[in-house]
Amino acid sequence: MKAFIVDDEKHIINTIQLFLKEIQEIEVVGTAGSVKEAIEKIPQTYADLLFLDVELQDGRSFEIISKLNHKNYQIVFITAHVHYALQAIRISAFDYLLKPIHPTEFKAVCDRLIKENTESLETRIIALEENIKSPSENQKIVLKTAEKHIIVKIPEIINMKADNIYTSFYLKDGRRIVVTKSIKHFEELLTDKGFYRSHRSHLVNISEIREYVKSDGGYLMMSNDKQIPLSASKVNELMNKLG
Amino acid sequence: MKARHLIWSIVLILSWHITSFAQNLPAQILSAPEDSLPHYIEKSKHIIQTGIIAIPLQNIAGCGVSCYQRGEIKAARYFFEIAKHEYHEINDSTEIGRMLSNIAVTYELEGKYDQATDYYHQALDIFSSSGDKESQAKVYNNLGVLFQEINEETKALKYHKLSLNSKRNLMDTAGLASTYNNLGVLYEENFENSDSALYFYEKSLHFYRLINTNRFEAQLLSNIASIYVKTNRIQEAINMLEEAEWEAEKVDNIILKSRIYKNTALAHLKSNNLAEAELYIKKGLAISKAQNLLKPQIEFLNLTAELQEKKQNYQACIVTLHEKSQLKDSLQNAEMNEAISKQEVLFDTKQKEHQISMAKQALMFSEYELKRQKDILILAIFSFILAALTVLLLVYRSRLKAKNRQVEVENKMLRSQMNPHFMFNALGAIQNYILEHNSMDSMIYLLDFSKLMRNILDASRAEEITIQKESEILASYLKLQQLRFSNKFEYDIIIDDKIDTENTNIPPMLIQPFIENAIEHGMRKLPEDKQGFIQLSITKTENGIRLQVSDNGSGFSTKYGTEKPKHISHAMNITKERIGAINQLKKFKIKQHIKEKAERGVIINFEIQILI
Repeated sequence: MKAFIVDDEKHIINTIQLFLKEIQEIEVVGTAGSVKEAIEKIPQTYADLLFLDVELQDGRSFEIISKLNHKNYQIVFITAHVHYALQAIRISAFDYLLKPIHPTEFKAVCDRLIKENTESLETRIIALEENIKSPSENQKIVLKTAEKHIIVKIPEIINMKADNIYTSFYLKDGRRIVVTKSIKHFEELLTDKGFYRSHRSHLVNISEIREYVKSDGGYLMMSNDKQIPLSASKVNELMNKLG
Repeated sequence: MKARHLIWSIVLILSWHITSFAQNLPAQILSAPEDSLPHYIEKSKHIIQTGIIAIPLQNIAGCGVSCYQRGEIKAARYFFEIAKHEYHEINDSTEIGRMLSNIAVTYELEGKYDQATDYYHQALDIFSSSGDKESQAKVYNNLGVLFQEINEETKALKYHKLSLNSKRNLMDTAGLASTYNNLGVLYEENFENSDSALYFYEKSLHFYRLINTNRFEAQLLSNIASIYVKTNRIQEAINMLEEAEWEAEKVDNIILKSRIYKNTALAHLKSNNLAEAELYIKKGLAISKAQNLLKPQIEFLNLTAELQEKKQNYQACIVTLHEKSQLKDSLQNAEMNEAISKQEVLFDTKQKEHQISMAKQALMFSEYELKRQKDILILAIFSFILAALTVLLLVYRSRLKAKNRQVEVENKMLRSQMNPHFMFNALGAIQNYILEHNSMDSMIYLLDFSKLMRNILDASRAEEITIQKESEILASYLKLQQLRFSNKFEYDIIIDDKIDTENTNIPPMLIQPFIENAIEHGMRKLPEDKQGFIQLSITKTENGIRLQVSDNGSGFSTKYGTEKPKHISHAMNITKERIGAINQLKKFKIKQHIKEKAERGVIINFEIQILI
């Protein structure tokens, strides 16, 4: 793979270059210190892997992505700290690294990228761009299945069920999507978007709850007539959330 | 003997001193020309000033009291006049009133009743307008005595009753005692009703003994004894007079003594104990001659004549009577004057009473006014207290608010200084340094970093920091930034030698956001071939410290780039807020100046006035 590194801190570029020396599958074809420079240089290099610092002196690296004509890039974001843009990066299923960069994490990300197919890259990038711009309710989540990436509008999700290391998504149109990530990961991503962990293995969209039934130990009746168990200890908390 | 009230303005503090003056002064003062009061005042002042020590004002009045007690009436009056004059100077109306009343007493004793009433009424005016009921009651008493003396019994009774009422309301036991005594005298001498007189005397004695005051006991005993003489209870009278004489020795009052001697002599004459009677007559004559008291002298001469008649020594009797008539001649003028004065008083009092009845309505109204004013005053005081409390509360609240704001701003400051962008990028820089250099140098950077973090944490909680510490923080900050920016800039920290860096405190990290700005904004955009430079200088000013950051970076202009990075302008806003909060606490006064250099770069000045 041909990597291009964009960061306005020279030492980060140096560090990434040093790390990449250990990975034979990836070679560095160029570096840039600003948005402007990156937009100029990237098309000339035929790079297919971008390491992008999120905050650059003259703008955000998302600008670089949207300015590039063809969008078949693997992208790893690099950031000094957690901020709102990171949220969009995560629901769009992009990889990211935090500074200072942990060598083991770096290696793991690169290994995964090398194996991964690139077919739906463009749709993911579009999803990312939309997620960066749009308000939180209408965001899209990229669900990575064994074969492909599926983009789903967050309000379409009714509930999720944990299945060992997999998570099943139940959508309004009746589809069920199984993702190879733990429910914990999605709880982190979706809690501030109107979702609630009603049970150890259940995550529900609060706006899709039809009623709360007290019998049989208490359960939630969802809009698709599914019964979702509600832990006795969580009744009060959920009622508070419902107002 | 009647009790007149001198009004003791203030407790006599230097009584030993006054006594010594009272012994020395009167003779000197009396030798001065009689008609020139200013002369007396001057002379007395001179004596007082050149005396042993300067006498405080209240002691001038004290001298008067002392003279009065010794029967030196004129001298007493001069002192009261001086005191009045002096109180006039300091505008103390209450004391002026008291002195007027005291002067009236001296005139009354000299038989100058018209002047006396005049002064009493002046005093009354002052007391009623100032609401000094106690002094008012005393003046009523004295007026009662005065009318008693000029045989205006109904008026005397009226004033005594006024006085009695006031004193009852004021629970003035001593005052009640003296008024009862005066009523006794009134009933004894004017109404010639011995029973009633005795009743009042005993009541008076009861009150005096209640408050355990011996001062008037001699006087009262003498009064009671005179009734006993009249009602032929001779032995009881003599016993009482012996006691009175003994008490009188203590108070050293010539008039009182002569009274006691006269009564004793009378008692002995009645019981035909001529030898004893003669002894007391001689004693009485001696002291009244010594003090040149005409009336007592005549009385004693009368008694002498009576005695000589009883002894059938008619020759001597004639001589005595002759002597008496001579004395009476010399008294004539005085008595004439007295008689005229009495008439004048009667005329005046009639007029005054008319005025008084006119004034009464006004007084009633003004009393109502007074009550209303009192109510208003209470209301005003109450509102004032309420207002004061409210103000206090508001001040406290705004202080608290300022404090809260301070805390809030501190938090914001901490967040901006622990700027994650800087922190993690700095760590990234250290990481790279580790990868590229030897471990010892790398470790130094790591230690610098941890030191900076620790200092920032400490500083954000502190209201102030020593210049020493502040400059250390900024130095490690600059050093790390230099690493991050691969030596794109040099820096220099200059501290004025005149500053005691260990002991001079300033608010922490004021200038740090601007150094950050100079680096992130100014240095980053510097063309590749340019070497950046940042200078921090800390100098002593007239009343504080000046912090200055100067750089040769790109400045604020958009020449080298677009807008300021968000966190930098954010930090500048926080600084503004912080300055506001700090200035509110009144410990420091901070002014901030930012200007762009003509050639290149920015100068930022913080003028920190240290107020406490």
